[in-house]
Amino acid sequence: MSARKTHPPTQESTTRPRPPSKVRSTVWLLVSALIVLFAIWQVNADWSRFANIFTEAPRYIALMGQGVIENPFTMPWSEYWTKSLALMIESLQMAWIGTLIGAVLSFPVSFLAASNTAPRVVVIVTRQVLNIIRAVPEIVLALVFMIPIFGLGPLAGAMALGVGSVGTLGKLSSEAIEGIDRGPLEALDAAGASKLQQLRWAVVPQVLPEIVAFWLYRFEINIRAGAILGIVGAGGIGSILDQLFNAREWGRIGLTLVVIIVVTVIVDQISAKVRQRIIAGPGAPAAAKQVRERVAV
Amino acid sequence: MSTPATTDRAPTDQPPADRPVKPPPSIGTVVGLLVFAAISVYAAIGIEFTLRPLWEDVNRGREIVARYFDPNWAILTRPAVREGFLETLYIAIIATLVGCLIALVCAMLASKVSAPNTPVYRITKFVLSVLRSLPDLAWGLLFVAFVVNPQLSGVLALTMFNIGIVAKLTSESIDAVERGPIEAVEAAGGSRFQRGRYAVLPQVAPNYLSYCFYVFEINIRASAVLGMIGAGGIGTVINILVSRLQHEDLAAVVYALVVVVFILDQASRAVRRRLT
Amino acid sequence: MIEFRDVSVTYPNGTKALDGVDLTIPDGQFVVVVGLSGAGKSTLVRTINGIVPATGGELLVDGAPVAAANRRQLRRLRSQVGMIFQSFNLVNRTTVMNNVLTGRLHSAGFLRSMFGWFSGADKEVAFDALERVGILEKAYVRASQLSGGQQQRVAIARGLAQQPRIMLADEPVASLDPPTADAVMRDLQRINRELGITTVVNLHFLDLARRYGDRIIGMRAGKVVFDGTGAEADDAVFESIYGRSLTAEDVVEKKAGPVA
Repeated sequence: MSARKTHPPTQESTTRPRPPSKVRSTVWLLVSALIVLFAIWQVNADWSRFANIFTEAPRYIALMGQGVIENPFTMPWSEYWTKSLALMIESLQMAWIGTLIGAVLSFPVSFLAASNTAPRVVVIVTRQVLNIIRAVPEIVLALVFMIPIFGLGPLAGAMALGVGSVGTLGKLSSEAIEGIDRGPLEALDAAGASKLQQLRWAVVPQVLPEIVAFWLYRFEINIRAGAILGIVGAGGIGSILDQLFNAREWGRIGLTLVVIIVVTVIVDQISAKVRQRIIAGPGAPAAAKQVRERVAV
Repeated sequence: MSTPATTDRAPTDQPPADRPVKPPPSIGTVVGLLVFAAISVYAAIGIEFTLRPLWEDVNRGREIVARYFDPNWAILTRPAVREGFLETLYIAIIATLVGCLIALVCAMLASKVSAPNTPVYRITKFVLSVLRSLPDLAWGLLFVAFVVNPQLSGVLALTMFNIGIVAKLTSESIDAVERGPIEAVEAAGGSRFQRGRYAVLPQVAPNYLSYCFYVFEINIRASAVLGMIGAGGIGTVINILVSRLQHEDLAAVVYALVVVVFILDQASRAVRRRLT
Repeated sequence: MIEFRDVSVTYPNGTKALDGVDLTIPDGQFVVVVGLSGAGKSTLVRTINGIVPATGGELLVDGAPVAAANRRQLRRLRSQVGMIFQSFNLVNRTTVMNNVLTGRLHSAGFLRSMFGWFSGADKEVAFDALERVGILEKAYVRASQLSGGQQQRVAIARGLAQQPRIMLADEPVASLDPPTADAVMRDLQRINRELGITTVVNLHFLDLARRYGDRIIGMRAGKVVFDGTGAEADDAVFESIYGRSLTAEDVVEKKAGPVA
């Protein structure tokens, strides 16, 4: 005790740094909590119905499971499976063509939306147009514009997916373009190449793998979007899904969902593999092999 | 120096034999392009692809599309429409919160870095890819059948939808986390939970929050259409207007929807930019 | 012939990079520009092909004023001036051949250049350029798989493929190790001797400057402070150009360097 008394100056030097103010983060947290509470209070959802998840849902799920495990080679189940699979394939076709349309439309647009390849004003305008396209749900696009023009069916769906894809694809691609190494551009400028030639030989080779990977990524998203467009009559498996739920044919609902899940998961896996391959580039596996061989030697 | 300097050989001369031959494109590239072309042709035939309606049947569409250029703005003042928009917003907010909280736990289980053991990691990954394979409206149809109440089914559908997306993105961020801090907490005798809380979470927190705002943007769009199948929100109004063929009214609602989504998108992205 | 008449360059942010430069570089000369970073070497080189526009004075390349050139004339001028960069500026994801062929773009028509249908003559020019820098066998290898020295040779071949009358090089060896740097400088010198291409090289290694420059131009704060032969440029001259005493950092080969 006496020792402590003999060292009064230490007290001053041991003042601890004060922690930085937490006011900002606390305020943010409170505001967010208030927003959520307000939403819960206002939404007039019947929360008691949540109990149905434990009472009703298991019964329906069991019914769905029965449909899945029925012998698929007997009528009418074989026909149900074939029908669902055929419609899912139609959804995939819509997604593929939609992605293709989106790719073709967004490729030139992305150069207009990149600040290193287009003038400022053009970039700002193009970006806002892309943002507006992104804001429109595909299903609304199908309902409002594509079905009136192309009629009911998968063509309208593919068109809706195509136009809908331009928003994200244009944005992602333009960001890839903005991320390029400027060196080759400068070199081509110094070699007397025109603006268009500079894009073709300095920008495109640098960004094409990324952009193609974005196309595949968008294809994966479009599979999901294409699976529901049928609800408004724009083709694909969505059309039958809506009818089945209205008719409460749980067995068929079950097998249709299984078809959607299995096909989507498989196509996702393939697409992801191809994307990795494209990003790594054809030279990369060879180079990696060379390294491995060198290590082995 | 007035003559071009490079070569003493005129370029039109027969090239010498020792020039390297351009290697043929790799088999992978050729096969890839062939598969691409085959699928494209197959898909185009499958959906009977044609652009002809754009100029031939355009009159059929023109009449309807023209009505979209003459929106009936008055409908936006109706209470049902206003409530529809608010409901969409509420559903999106609640689903984002619930979905993101569950997703954080799932993400921890779905990354090799933070999962307790391999079976848990495998199973979680599989469940998540199943969750992600069902589109938002399919979840909507299911929950409308399960719980009947439109708003609640909207919230549940979007929650399931969000878990798949946020958990996948976050688990990928966790995969890419620096291993050093984890080792440090382990070396200091930290438990599995402490490892996640003090070594993993601080590293992925900005990304995770950014993903939460990202799904909020998706949710606004999704909950707007969920109403079409009876899961609450402005979609209910859109569905009614479509069935009544009130295109002028529909136009006003759709434009308002686009504006609302656009504004919330921009706000959310401004927040995201500050997070990362 | 390149003529600088009282040329000045002021950047938009107010930096004066060149300040009243007067220079005449006759055809076929091998000129090395030395100076500290920020002394205006890069600007000097870049004004010659108009990548950096001169804001004052007059700059003539083969009698034609650079500043007065319109877009098309500027492209024609640039097609006659090859340029080599410190960071090579190759497109790594494509082949060496495609990189070299970009040197032929100035003479390729729209369709040819969009689809990459280069003529046999263009390809032969590219092969010939690759042969001159000794990496012909790498023509169809991806640029990313080459070493730094090989990449800089590809960049030289790209410049040669333009069939230029002038070759500019901005710190071409700054990213290379000493033996490779020396080899690349030898390539540049050989091309200058064999083809008579006027060559202007920026360097900051004084031993390389002495060894390869027919003529050395010293720059400091945007002004030419020395102009003479390599033999005249002794350590005292370099110290006055650099405004400080020399260190081991100023030479490539530390042991053989004059100040080691």
